[in-house]
Amino acid sequence: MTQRPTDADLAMLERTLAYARSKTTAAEVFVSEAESTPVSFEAEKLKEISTRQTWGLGIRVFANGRMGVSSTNHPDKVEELVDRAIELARYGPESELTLPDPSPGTPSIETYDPAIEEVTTEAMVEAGRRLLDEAKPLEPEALYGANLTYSTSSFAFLNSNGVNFGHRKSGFGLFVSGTLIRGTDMFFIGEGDRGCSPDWDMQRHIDGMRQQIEWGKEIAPTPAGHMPVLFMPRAVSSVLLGPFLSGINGKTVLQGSSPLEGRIGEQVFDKRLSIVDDPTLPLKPPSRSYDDEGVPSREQFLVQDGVLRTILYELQSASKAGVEPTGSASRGLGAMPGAGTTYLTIEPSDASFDDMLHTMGDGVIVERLIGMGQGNVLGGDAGGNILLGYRVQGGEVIGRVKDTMLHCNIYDILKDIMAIGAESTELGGSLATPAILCDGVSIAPKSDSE
Amino acid sequence: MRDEMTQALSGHNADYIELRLEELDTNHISMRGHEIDDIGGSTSRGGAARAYVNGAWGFVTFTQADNLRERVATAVRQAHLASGEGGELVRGEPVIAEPAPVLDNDPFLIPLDRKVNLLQEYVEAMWAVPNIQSTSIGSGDRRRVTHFANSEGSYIRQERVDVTFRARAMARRDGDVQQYGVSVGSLGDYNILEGRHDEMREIADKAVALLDAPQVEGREYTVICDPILGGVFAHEAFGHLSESDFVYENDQMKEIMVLGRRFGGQHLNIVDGASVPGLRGSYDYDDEGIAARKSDLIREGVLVGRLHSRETAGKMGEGVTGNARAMDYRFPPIVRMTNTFIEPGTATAEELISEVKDGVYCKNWYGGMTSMEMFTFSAGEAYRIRNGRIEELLRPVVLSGNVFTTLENLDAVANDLDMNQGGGCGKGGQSPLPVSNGSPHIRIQNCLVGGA
Repeated sequence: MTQRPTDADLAMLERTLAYARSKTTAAEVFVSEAESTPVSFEAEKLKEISTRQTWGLGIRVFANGRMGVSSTNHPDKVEELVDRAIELARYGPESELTLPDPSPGTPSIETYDPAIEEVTTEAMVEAGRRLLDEAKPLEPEALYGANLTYSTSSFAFLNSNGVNFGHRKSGFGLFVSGTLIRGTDMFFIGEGDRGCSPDWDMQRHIDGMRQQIEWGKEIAPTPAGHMPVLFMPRAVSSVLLGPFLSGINGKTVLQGSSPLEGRIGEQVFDKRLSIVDDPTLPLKPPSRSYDDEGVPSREQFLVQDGVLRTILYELQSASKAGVEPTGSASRGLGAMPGAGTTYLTIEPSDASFDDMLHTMGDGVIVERLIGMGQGNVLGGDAGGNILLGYRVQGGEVIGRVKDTMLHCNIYDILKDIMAIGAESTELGGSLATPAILCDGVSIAPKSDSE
Repeated sequence: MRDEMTQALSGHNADYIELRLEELDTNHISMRGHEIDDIGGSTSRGGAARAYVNGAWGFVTFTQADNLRERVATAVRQAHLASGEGGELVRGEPVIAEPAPVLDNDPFLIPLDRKVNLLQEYVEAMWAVPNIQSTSIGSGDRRRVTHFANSEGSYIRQERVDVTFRARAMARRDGDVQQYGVSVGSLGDYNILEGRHDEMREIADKAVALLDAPQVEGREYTVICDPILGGVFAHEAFGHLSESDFVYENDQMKEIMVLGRRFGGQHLNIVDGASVPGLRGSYDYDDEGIAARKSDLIREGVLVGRLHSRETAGKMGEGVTGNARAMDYRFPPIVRMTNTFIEPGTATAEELISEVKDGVYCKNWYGGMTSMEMFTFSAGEAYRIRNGRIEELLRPVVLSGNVFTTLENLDAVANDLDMNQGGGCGKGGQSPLPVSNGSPHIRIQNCLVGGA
């Protein structure tokens, strides 16, 4: 794989910025580039080997108090790119933001593991076969698939105040899934993870699949009503975090549509809940020395002992709110930057898994939902159809629930949490969280299911 | 272009090879409240080469369209590395075609100030309603020009322009935030954005009205879906199940989706087809160079067809349907829906509603998702039905169910088919792909409605 950003890319950035500066009051330019090699197995057979390469140049200009963005992937069309951004800026958002100055001494965060250069496509194919060989005996009637990827990417950035930085990232991911169909019952299982370093350890994924099969092979009748629900780490991520993260977005707050507006310093959740956003952890996929606008990265509490600590701002929303930016900017090609989180940690507490089952008594464990992000998400509503979840009776898992809807409001159920697990799981290389047991979650079964 | 592509494809050792070169241009404007929040555009060029050897693919994407021959050679090499147990791809006759694009009113020719002014007028219309807390609105255009060539000697140039528009109003009282919105789209016609001032006011009115609406009690009801939500139902609940890439290598799925299986009553007919003209899912050729057509999926309640790529059709010994689609050059074509709809029946919508004693009337939508067997989709607007009459407005509801029982429970289809062009479909990391879906008013017995 080519070493990026190349000198040619950097020279192009300089040239683009110089041209933009001659016509505008301020500008930012960046080049983002990636190459990945996904290997996919379908129905236990090797189905596709790909090489995917992307390259793009993006710009934001500030002219007459307004801003505009554009992007291209023609290295020879940089003047056109700048002119288009200036044209768009005539109608663009009004802005009084100040671009950051260079901040010497900002620590460099490692996100590139040179071991990625030793990974070969053949080794990925071999790993995929081994993953399937180990998964198959777990439940021979199920049909398995796997996806493996290794990648490198880079981002290089300049602004007209002299900020100049770049970072390289390596990426590696393994995912395995299985489908067991009996009659019209479809049972979906899956495990996997990604990170910056090659990680050939498959045992934890296989163990996870074994657990899912053991708990879920038999179908259990679903209870109905409001009851305790144990959100497994994957469900904490997809069900509980989603509405909260849209609520702490500075743009949403400025717009007046966040229920968290004006509540920094207030107890919004249970005292045991703490959520940290940290882009400075080495070798985590979302980590970076600077955010995508050149603001140095920093670790920060979003929620500390249940108290709301931070609203996330990129430069524009920070400027409008009259606060400091939080180093949370992320941007794609051809769009304004937005604020988001990086590596999130929900701090574990003291409950063992068995403790939580015992505390729950009768209830439901939820692993995966479908149909998330519907309903009044900003208001904290979360819910959907349980794709993978289990019935607990008398503190014991008795089987998989199906045809069941879950509904809750995160601002209600996280106010008084029953228990937070002692053990953390890392998901997708960007979140570490324990399982969380909440009470009063609405569970509605469908009565005529098999 | 054609010669260059043909040359790059010649003399390789593979069962089948295709090469795509594409030009993509996008524009978007979005406003939060009265202010423009984002305005931008992008232009990109790129390509993809894909080769098939003995049942496996090699696939290469690139943004610099040089060394085409070497790109193809890499795809072929990867296909050999992946190849194993053989597979049958449906072969086609060479197609040379350059169909004219559908461009009733090209959004790329509309001056930027006119686009911005229109959005500003709509925002003002929403804010004219008291108690509106915030609004969000946006429009976007995307032009995709594809040059396709394959080892069968085909060369096809196609151009599609996709237009989208969305608007949402949020009302707030104390800590309670409620919202209502609309999402529309078209194939190459900016006109669909215009003349929506009254509708914007209605959106704002509805968001405010939701503040006083009660939440539905979560349980089963008889549900009436309007054509928009009915279309989402056709897409989510059944459409994805008819995509053969979920079926072709899975014997258990083949058993479930066996042609001839009864899914619903005589009144149930579901079709999909890119050859239905002028809709967001319409095109002349798919991304494997297969001519578009219209496929019957369910006819009189019985499964009669499914959606195919060259590979799934070959493996299942069925005919191609022209449903292999890629978002753009960064992705391989996979089996996708196009324009999916439930065909109209004979009853009127009023007749369907008048027979419901205890039910919910669901309109509009936020989204939906399926896991094959189970689906879920949400209605942006819902009303209680009692004794055949539509009564109070409810908070937004989520409908959910098992496709097999729900299609059986779909007991009546009205005569008022309408297409919803506001959605995009996501699958295999490719999202949003322009599709349309539609339905007449439909009635579903014992449908699970979620609430708190």
